[in-house]
Formats: sequence, C-alpha cells, structure tokens
Amino acid sequence: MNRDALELLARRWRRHVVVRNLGISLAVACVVAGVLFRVDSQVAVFAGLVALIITAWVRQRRSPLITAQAIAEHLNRSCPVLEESAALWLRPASDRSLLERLQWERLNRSWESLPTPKPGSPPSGRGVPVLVAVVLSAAFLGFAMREGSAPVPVPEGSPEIASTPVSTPIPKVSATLEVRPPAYLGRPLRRVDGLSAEVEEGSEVLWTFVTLPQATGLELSGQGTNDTRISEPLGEGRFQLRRTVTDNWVYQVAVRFGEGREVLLPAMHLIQARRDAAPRLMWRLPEAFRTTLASTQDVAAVPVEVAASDDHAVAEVRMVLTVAKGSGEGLRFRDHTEVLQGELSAGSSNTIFRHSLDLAGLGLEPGDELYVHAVAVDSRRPIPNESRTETRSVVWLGPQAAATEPAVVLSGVRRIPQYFRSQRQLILDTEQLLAEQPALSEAQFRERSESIGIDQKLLRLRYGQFLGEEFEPTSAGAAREAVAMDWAATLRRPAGQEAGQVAAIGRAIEATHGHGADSAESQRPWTAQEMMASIAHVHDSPEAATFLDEHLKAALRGVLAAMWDAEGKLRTVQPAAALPAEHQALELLKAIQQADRLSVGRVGYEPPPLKVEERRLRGELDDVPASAAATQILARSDPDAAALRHVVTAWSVGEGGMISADTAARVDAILWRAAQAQPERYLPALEGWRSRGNGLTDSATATLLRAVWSLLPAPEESPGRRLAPDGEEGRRYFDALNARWSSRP
Amino acid sequence: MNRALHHVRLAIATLSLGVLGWQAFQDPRDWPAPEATHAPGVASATEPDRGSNSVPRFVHLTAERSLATGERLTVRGRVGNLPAEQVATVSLEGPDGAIASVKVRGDSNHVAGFALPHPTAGVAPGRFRWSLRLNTDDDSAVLGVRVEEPNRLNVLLLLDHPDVEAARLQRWLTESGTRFITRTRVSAERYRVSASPEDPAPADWQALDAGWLKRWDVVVAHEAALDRLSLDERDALDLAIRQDGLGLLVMGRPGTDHDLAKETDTASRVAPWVLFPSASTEPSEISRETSIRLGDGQLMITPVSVLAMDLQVPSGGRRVASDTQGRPLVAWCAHGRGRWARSLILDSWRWRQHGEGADYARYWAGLLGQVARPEAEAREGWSVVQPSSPIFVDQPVTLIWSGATNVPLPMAEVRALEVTGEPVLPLNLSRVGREPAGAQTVFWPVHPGWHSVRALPAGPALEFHVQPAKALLGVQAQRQQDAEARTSDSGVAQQPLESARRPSGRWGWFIQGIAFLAFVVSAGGLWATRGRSDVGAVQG
Repeated sequence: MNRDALELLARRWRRHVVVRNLGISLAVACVVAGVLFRVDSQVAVFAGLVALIITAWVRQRRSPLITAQAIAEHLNRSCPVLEESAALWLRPASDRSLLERLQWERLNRSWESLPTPKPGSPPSGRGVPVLVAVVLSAAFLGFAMREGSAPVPVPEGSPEIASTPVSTPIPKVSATLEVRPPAYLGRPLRRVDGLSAEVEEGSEVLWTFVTLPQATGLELSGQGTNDTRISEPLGEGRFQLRRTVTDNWVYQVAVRFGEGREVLLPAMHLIQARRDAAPRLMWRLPEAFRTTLASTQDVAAVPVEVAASDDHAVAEVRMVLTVAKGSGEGLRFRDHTEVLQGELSAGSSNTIFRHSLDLAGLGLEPGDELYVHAVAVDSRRPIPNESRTETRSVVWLGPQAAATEPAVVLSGVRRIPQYFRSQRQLILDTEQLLAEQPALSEAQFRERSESIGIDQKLLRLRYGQFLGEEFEPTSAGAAREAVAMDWAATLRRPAGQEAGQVAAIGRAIEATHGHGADSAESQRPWTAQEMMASIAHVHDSPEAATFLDEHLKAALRGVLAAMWDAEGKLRTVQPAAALPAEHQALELLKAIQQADRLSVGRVGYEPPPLKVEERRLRGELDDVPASAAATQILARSDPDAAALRHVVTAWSVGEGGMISADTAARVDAILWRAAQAQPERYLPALEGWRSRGNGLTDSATATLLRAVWSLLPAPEESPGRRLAPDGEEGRRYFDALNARWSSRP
Repeated sequence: MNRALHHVRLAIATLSLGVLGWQAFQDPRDWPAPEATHAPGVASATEPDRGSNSVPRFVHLTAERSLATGERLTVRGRVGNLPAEQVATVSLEGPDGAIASVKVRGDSNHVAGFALPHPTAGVAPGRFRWSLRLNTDDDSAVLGVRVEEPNRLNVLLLLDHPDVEAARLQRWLTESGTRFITRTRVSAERYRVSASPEDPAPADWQALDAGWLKRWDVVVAHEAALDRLSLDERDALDLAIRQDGLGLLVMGRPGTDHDLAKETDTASRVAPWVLFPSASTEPSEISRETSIRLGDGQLMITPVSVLAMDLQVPSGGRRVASDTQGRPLVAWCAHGRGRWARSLILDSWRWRQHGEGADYARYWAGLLGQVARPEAEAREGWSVVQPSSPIFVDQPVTLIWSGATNVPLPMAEVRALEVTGEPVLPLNLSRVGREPAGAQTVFWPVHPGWHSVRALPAGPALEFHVQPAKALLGVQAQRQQDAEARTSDSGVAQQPLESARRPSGRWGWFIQGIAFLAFVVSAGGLWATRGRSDVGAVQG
C-alpha cells in the first residue's frame, strides 16, 4: 500500500458514489416521468430530465469529497491494527523519519496480514438496492408509457373506429372558413376560425386547411354516409374545399399521408344552415271572414289591409281576387291579381299593405260574390318562399235577398237540420188552400187553415229547440214558456217594427230560460264551461249541446218571429195574411243555409263509365268455397326501430352492451341523420356513440340512452294477461264446488 | 417509575394491537347501533330520523317494479312536512329525459297526496331508472323499473260480416304481436279465415270445439255470429268460459231474430246481456254518437257511434266504459271461471283515425286483458310482499315463491347485479302454512341497486331495485312509525325484537380509531425509550 494505491482507492470510491448518485437520480427521474406521462409525454420527458439533473446535483453536493487523505482516515477508524498510522502511506519515503520508516514497515506488515477483501474498498453490495430501485422505476416508466399508448380494445361486433396509434404523432389540422352568404341577402363575406359555423342557407363556404405534419390529402366525410368531399391540395400541407351549404352538415376530417396512412380525426364538426323562412301574412281588414253588403247599399270601395313580415325581406305582396257571378249552374268565376304597395309599420317589423277594392271596377253587381286572398313572396333566390292568407269573401246581396240583421257570419260549430222543405211545403199548402177557398166550406177552410197553423207551430218548435223553446204551452212545466209566449204575443207589432219585435221576443225567450249566473261579473277567469255557455245551449244532454254564435241566434230569432206571425194568422183563419210571414221565414232560413256556402270551380274529371253487367253480383255461390283463407294482414316492419330497441335493451342497467355490427351500423346511420336534423340534441349523442369503445361515463351513457330512446316511436299498449285472482287455492276450491254440483242428481 | 411506565406503555401497545386485530376480523355492521337499543313498539325517546322537520319529504311511495312494453309508469305517494298552503312540485324524469310534474298543496296535517303518471312508455325490455324529485332538492329517489315483454294473448274473432271495426282491431293485434285468428262470414254459409302472420290459418276450420277453444284466451264475436253457432258449438263455448276461464267479448249490433235463436233457450247462456231500447233516442235510430268516458275517468275526445240501446249490467259486473251521462257502454261480468263482456261501441277505430291511437290501444289492451283468460295458476314465480313499495339497504324484504304443490322447494340465490365481484347469496325458503305451494324467505340487501333472485338450477327469476340506506328518509321513518303503531295497537307483549334496521357500524370505526391512536402513542413511546437507552450505553 502506498500513496498511489490510496489515490486509486479514492478514485474507486468517487466512482462508486457517482454511480450510486446517478442511479438514484435516474430512479427519481423515471418515477417523475412515469407519473407525468399520463398528462403529456413531452412534459414527462422534460420533467424527468430536470429531476435527474437536480437530484444528481443535490446528491453530489451533499456527498463528501473522497481523497486519499480521507481514505487514510477511514482506514485508521475502521482498522485498529493500523494503529492510526495510515497517513504514513501518503508521505513520500524521503520525508519519513527513522521511527516513521519503522512504523511504515510495521504498517505494511499489518496491512498484509489483513484478510481479503481488504478494508477501504467500496462495498459491493451497496449498489444492489440502487440497481433494484433503478430497475423498478424504469419498469414503472415503461408501464406508464405502455398504458398511454396501448390501443383500447373495441367490444366485439362493434364497428371499427379508426384511431391514431400512440406511436404515430396525431396530425394537427387548423382551418378557417370563408362564408359568402347568398347574393340576395346582400351581406358581406365573413371569416370564421374553426371547423364549425352557423351559416345562411345557400351560403358558399370555403375551407382552408393547414396540416401539421404536412399531409398529402385531406377530405371531409360523414362516416357511414356517401357524403365525402375531397379537398384541393394547395401544397405544403395546405388544402382548400368549397361547398354550397343547403342543409345541416356534420362531418369529420380525414388526413392522408404519403406512406398510405390515413387518419380519421375523431372530432365531429357542424355546419348549421339557417333556413330562410317563408313570409308571415296576417289580415287586418276586413276583420270578418265574410262581409255582406246589402243590395241597396251604396258601395264605392271596400278597404283591405294585410300585414307582412319576413326574416329577411318581403319582395312582393299580391292580392288575388276571384269574382263569382251568377247562381246555381250558371256560376262563373273570373280571377284578377293586383300587386300591393306597402309601407313599414311604425313600432314593428311588419309591412302594411293597403288596397281598396273597387267593386264596380271589378264588375261586381248585386248578387255577386268576391273572394280575396293575399300572397306574399320573399326575396329568396332562386326559389322564393311563398305564403298566402286565408280567403275573405265579400257578398253583395241581390235585391231579392233580405239582409239579416245583424249580418249572419260563418261560425265554427253549429248544426242546422235541413227543414227548409217543410217551410216551403207550408207555403205551398197555404197557397193551395187559398186557391181552393172558393170550393171549400167555411168549416173545411177553417180546419185546413188551423192544421197548417199547427204544422207551422210544430216547425217553429223544432227550430225553437235551438234557442230553448222545448216546452209545449200545454205540457208540464210550461207555464213560464206560456207566459213568454203571451209576452211575445203582446209585443207583436205591425210590420215596420220587426227589429224591435225580434229583439223583444228574444229577450222574452231568454228571460224564461235562464242559464245561470253570468260569470262575466266575477273576477276569476272563466272556466271552459262558462266560455262555452255563451254560445252553447245545454240542457240535459251535454253531448247534444248546440253551439251557436250570436249572429246565428239572432237570425234564428228572426225566423221564429216570422213563424209565430204566420202561425197566428193561420190559426185565426187568415191564410192570406200569413203568406208574407211564411215567405219571410223561408227567406231567412235560406239565408242561413247559404251563409256558409262557398262556390268553387268544378274540377274537370269524368270517370269512365262502369260496365254494370260485368260487375253486378248475381248471388251465385257455387264457385265460392265454404271456407277459404283471407288476405293476411302483414305487420309493418321497421328495422330502424328494431335496431334502436336492441340498443336500448343492451344499454340498460347491468347489461353488457353487446351489439352486433349490423345493428351498430344502422344505429350509427340513424344517429347521423338525427344529428344532421337536430345537431344540438343529437350531436353529443353521436359523439358518445362513436367513442363508446373507449368507455363512457355514466352521464355520457345516460345522454346516449336518452337520445336513442327519443328516436323510437312511442309504443302502444299490447293486450296482456292478467294475474289469476285466486291462485292455486281458488282453483282447487272451484274444482271441488264444480264436482259437487255436477254430482248432484 | 420508568420501569412501571415502560410496562404500562407495553401493555397499552399490546392491547390496542389486539383490538385492531380483532376488529379486522369483525363485520362492522354487527356492532350495536344506538337506535336499535329499543324494541319496536316500545315508546322510545329517540325520534325517527326524518332529517330536518322543516323540509318537505316523501312519506309514502308506491310505483310498479315492472312494466310491460307500452305501459307507462305511475308513481303514487304522499309528501309530508308541507307547510299549510305551500305548493310543492313533484317531478319524475324518465330514461328518455322527459319530465312530468305535478304540484301538491299541504293540508291541515301538512301532508299532500299525489299520483304522477309519466308519459314515456317502456319501449324495450331492460332495467331502467326513473328519477323522482321533490322540489329542487328537498328529496329525491331513483326508481328502478324492469320493462318486460307482455305475456301475449291468443285471440279468436268470430265475425258475422266484414267490419271496419274488426278490421282495424286485427290490424292493431298484428302490430302488437298478438296471435289471433278470424273467421268472417261473407255470405250464406261462406266464411273466410285469416290469422296473424306467425300462425297460418287453417282454411278448412269451420266448427268450434273444446279442443280448439283451449288454444285461445279470449273470443271476440259479433252477437249475430254467436246466434249462428250450432248448439254443440254454443255448449262448447259456454263450457270453455265456465270451466277453463275463456273470455268472451260480444260486440256489434244485436242479433236479428234468427230462427235458431228462437228455437232454443241456450242463446242466453252464451250472451246473457240484456239490451233495452234507449229512451233518449228515436225508436228508428240504431245508433247514436256520443263521447266515451273510460273506466279510469279519461274522456275520449272523438265521439263515436254506439248502439242506441241501454245495457243492463248484471250484478257483480264491472263497467269498462260509459257515455258522458254515465250510461254503461262496455261492461263485463264473471261466468264461472271466465268472463264475458258486451260492448255497444261500433266504431272505436275513429280514435285511431283522429290521432288518439295510444288511447285506442290502451282501451283495447285493457278490455281484452280484463276479459281474457288469466295467467296459468300453476306457473312458478317470485313476488315481493308489498310489490310497489321501495326496498332499502339494511331493511328486510320478504320474497315469496309460488310453485307447484307436492314438489320440493327449490334452492334459491340472490345476487347484486351492479356490484362486481360480489358473490351470490344462497337463500333458504320456508313453506307458508296456509298455501302449500308457497314459500318465502327474508333477504337483507347490503348494496343498493339492482338485485336478482333466482330459483336454481334454471328457474324463474325476479329482479328488483334497492334504494340506498340514506334515500327516502321520510318513507323509512313513516314505515317505522307505522310498524310501531301496529305493534302497540295489537297489544303484543313488548319484547325486545330484532331491530328492523341493521346497525350502521359507526361505533366500530370509532373504536378502531381509538385503538390505532393508542397503539401509535404507546409504541412510539416504547421506541423512544429504547433508543435513548442504546445511546446511553454507547456513551457510557
């Protein structure tokens, strides 16, 4: 042993410390990198390097400097046989004294007597724990890296979803959209960053893509559909695609690289088309569906007014006029169109279009009818949206027709039985009686006049039931009705005061036929029954209630008044005086009948004549079998619904979720179509469906299940068995009773 | 002193270690809980755990555990702790995301009842969850419902003439997957036979006999078609109804004065209904239009034609539908083991035409289901006592087994379907005294979620949903109160009974914590004492 040996030993120690520190640092770095690898691989590598450097630096700084002197001191401490003299090896021979040379020789002999391995060497076993730590940490890092890149197993039978292997860098695609709205909207070009946007229907969209790394091809596709768009390469990984959007479009980006590799990026993007809605039209004048003008009324013009609005612009509003002249089979129609000029309404987005109908200019005469409706067209191109109003009619009564006061209008629900022939028959009977009067005796004349009066009364009662006259004057409970009739009789006035007479009779009827408290005075909202009470006449059978509006009631009161008049005259043997009242009743009934009639042009179609001799059945059954199979009713098959039901069952709680490839493909297509139509509702479900192989959270599963469920048609109840009410015990009891009953003589 | 302290520390460390070790082998749920120290029925100073008394909660809840496809869930219950005149909202969200809600108002007892039907019908078999909520966050529960395919009927139709009503009925039966066969008289002694797609129609079939009728669960017939049956056919039909539980639904116009009907009095055995001319219609009118009100009170919007006759319902009969005046239009009554029904409705198909198809299906499904032959009594199966009430973790549920008589009870097992790795639990069935074919067992659920009980080796199974222990506290408290009230009212000697609720094990955890702390302190003290003695020896 000498100084050189000590120096060598010191170097060995220093190397040992460095290796151990490096090993520990490496272990720490592997652990740090493995933990961070789940976050990001690059971050993990960087953090690992930093941890390695820091740990190594710290450990090296804290490790003592091992020199030959330190080795000598260590040998002095650990080897008593060296007698604290190991420092003598460090001194050159020329510097030793005699005693030191003697001690040096003694020292060497002691050193030689020590068994091998000599003390002072680095412990060989100390490296094992460090090696184990390094191995374990490296294994941990390797496990973490493997977990991050291992392809997720796709359930058997599911359609394969192209995924990006971890070993291949995920291409990055950035894009900008240029949206050019349709020219008719007059809106400027705009740019949108990203791959999703909401655009106007008919807009031209220009995608500009930049791929990193540079790709050789790029296309946009709806997976599972044939709608694939290939972009135009611009070089250096840039691509361009132009498309006119007319409907919602959900798409994915597929990138192709030179070595034939294609990557379908999983993200789904939406181009939502905002449709140009049709214009909205609303009548302002005339307010009523039917405007009736009296024959003697001096009508210069009829004002009409419509309000139109549109989400972009109303291009034109036309008034379509149809004049109907003549009556019966001689009815003729003539159409006329006029373009209206509008002005913007203050305080609203509506445009008001006004016009004045010149009836004389249109060739209308008393007895003719005019049908009017408005048509609005918006500015959409190439095919504008069109909408129209309902038809309003203007009726100019002829001189023969009596205007009903107030004007009879169309009503929603009413029932008028066809009793016109009875009234007409009464008129004919009365006219015949008058014609035969000279040949009849006074008693016969009286009897026939009274019988016609009774018929008139019966007819009046049948019409009167619509207004509450349900009692015969002689029937039980009719005292009030009889009083009402007396009131009505006293209110009869000569002709010329018909309006007052009608109103008075009406009040008399209603006064004896109370319908309960008027809820109009109460503060609470009307119930449905109260709302209906104003137009309904309900007695003991609500389902047979008649629903009459006020105008029709007033018209019917006029009819009843005329019938009362006629009845009175007939029963007082004054048939000649009763005829005008009978005619008036008939005319009023005809006016009511004609009120809700619209004349339309006949559509010309003449079916071929039937061959009656060939088709007429003769009742011969010889060739007809006694029993034969009838046409079988086939159930309507709906494979889409069956697939969705299969998914609902497979994804219910506790089920494995196994779905066949065919079913999965069909459901994929269904969800795709639904996402196109309602992207807000079904696009998240489609994304969840596409990523179901990677495992879904509970909320994502619930979202997917809700979407699939909502696409199913609502099932109807099917007839099923009920549970037996009494069970086995009841059956035995029944059988015992039955056997006993049967055995009785 | 130090030696004594050392011995004390050693003893504490050893004892605490022993406690920890013993705890490791114990089920913490077996530790007594403070709320179980009194017996039910004994006045207890401890109030049932209702949570905050000022928060409205469900106190009673029933809902079907299983639905057939096409059926809808209806939840009924009561809400308690409702301040007077305060309105609470009960909402029910289905698996499709649709939400139905109803507002309830507390009465003088601060309780309000509700019945909340959900519009979503079961679309496919499986286990699904409906979420019930009271207001925004006062109380909530997840109701697990099993949707199954219905046990379908076999329907035989006997028609006297082609009929739109019957044709639409056949269409609906086809689309619902119901097996049927139809014989339609098209002319004198000429018939046409049609059947559901999966059942080829025997074209040569003409006569009814007992064997043929056994294949069907309900016969839907025109009254005129019944009049044309031979005596043997009528006897066979009558016997099938009385003895075998076959159902008979007669519809259409009354039979004409058929000679055969006059010659025998057996016609009344087949069609005992008495129809009177209606006093509210003209004698010449055969039919009238009216709106229909079903048995559950629902009013069908579209009026339909009905026979202008009054139907006299026999005693014991039950109405299925009536007009708005309450006059019966459809009713059934029992005849032996079977049922027969009469319908005066002539054109219920108008409901489908006017967009009331779901109500049309519900009407016919309900009518046929009530009249048809019930499920076979000998069918084995499971059921739950109180089939509509919630089941909770750590509360017993009695499972009933119905099987054949004179057959040994099967082995049974129950498993938690939503807990992976949970072993199946064998169940021991014990016979019920009054029902020789029945048996029961008590099961204590440990985990929330879906469970399945099955008869081995491959017998019928029943699935049911278990609520977590902390769910529906109001319902649980009300049950406890009701049980206490029943026990005290019955006058039974108040002996300590098994608690209705397993202890929660909180004391176990507390003891474990104390023992661990004691071990750490004592062992640490021992270690410190030992270290100092070693150093002293070296320095020494």
